[in-house]
Amino acid sequence: MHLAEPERALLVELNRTSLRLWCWGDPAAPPVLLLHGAYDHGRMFDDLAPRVAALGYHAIAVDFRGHGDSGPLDTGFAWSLLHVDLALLVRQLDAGPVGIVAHSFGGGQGIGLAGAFPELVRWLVVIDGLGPPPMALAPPDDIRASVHRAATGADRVLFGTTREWESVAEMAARRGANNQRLPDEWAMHLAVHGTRPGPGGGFVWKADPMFGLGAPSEFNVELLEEEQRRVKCPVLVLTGTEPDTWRDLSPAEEAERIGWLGARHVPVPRTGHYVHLEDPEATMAAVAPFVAEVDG
Amino acid sequence: MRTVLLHDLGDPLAGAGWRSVAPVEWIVPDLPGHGAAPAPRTGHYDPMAAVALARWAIGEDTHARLIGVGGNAHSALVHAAGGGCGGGAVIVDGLWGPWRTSEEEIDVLHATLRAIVADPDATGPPPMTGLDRRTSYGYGVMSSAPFSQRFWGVIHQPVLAIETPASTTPPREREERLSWFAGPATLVELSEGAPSRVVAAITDWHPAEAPPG
Repeated sequence: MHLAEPERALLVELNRTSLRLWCWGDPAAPPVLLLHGAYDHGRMFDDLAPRVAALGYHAIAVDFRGHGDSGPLDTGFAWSLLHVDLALLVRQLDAGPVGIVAHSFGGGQGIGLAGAFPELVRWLVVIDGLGPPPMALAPPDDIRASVHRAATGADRVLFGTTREWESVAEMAARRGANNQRLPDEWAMHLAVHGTRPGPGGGFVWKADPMFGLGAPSEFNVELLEEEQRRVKCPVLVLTGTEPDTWRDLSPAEEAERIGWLGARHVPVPRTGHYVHLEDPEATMAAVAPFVAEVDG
Repeated sequence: MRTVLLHDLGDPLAGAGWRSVAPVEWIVPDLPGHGAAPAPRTGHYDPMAAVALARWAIGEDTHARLIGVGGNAHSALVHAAGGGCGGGAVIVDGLWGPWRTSEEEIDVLHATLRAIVADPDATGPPPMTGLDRRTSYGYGVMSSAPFSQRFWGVIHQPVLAIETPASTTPPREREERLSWFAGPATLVELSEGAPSRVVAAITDWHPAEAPPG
């Protein structure tokens, strides 16, 4: 697998942090944000972003706060905070409403942004990012253990040390074991750009370990439905067809959420959670006519 | 027994308003972004940060009492739900307001996000001291009756709920909400919310030993 380096790497200051942007295409062209999943980073779009740019867009892959080269998190309760980062980024780009191509957790961010700030989003492509299954949104069975885990986890991050790995190859292997459909070369690519040297001579993940350690808060399927129903821009949903890690919605749940979004749906054969990494050609074959229709 | 008080998020007096009337042995910090405490590095607020501070202040004292005011009532209950607060948890105006529908909840969320984005003081560099304007937008934590029932239902430690005139909890629902705690819970409704009155209610509270939870 050969991937070209991004054409430009920018660091923008907003909302009390810095966000890393990886850019392809004409900066004067209409912007499209590419949003990665939880614990990933913008370099996961090193293949897809140039293809999006070739359609005549300024393709901008974002490292979310707490991920990649962007600023750290103070806390783990970051879901809405990232919406604010994105809203300020779109305003700072000053190029009108943006298109968004978003994977997994990034899909939820795109949906949240489009619902809360409809004037900032022109269209949205969600790649297997319709939200967790109802069971995952319910309070944990053992609340006491869950709270204790979050509190001690925060203590460890605040007052302890981060695990170091001996090599990036070892980290890529771990990543591949977690996501068995992820091609080996992609597991390595994500590890190479998702790690940095640690203080002990090894390597640490760039993703902030504080991510996900927030306080208990209600979020249920009814709230998810309401949030998804607020999206009024055109939406395209791409999903894989194969069982995979984090592909955990039943077909009925998936169809229900596509209905809430009023989205069109393209299942991409022989792919799992990482639709765009497994089959970028099929991904673009769905994305290109969608954006051509919306943008004219 | 250590007693730690977490003032409300967005309290312009920070801990000072409480320190002036609290027993001298109470630990009443200025929380980050208030009073003399600098704002968090990236200026975002989360109850877990208050919980982490409380855990640090409490140290190894398993009989400590934690008081949470307003938005930080939830922080105190988070610590209690995790097994802390052996000496009890005190929540001041912490029983939540009228329950919102999903539509209302998302309306509030979106309005808050839009207000933050429109407020340069809330997203620009945070102040080194004094009140950070970002705190005025709250933690953004959501709750519901089923969620609170589940969450409070694991708290076996004694709970004192103090309701002041500033409370948004419907008065007729307060007793029922108290019944959701697994341990003994006491309701005190004050006709005046001055810190001195709240502190007096807390020092008058002598719960029995918490049952094993």
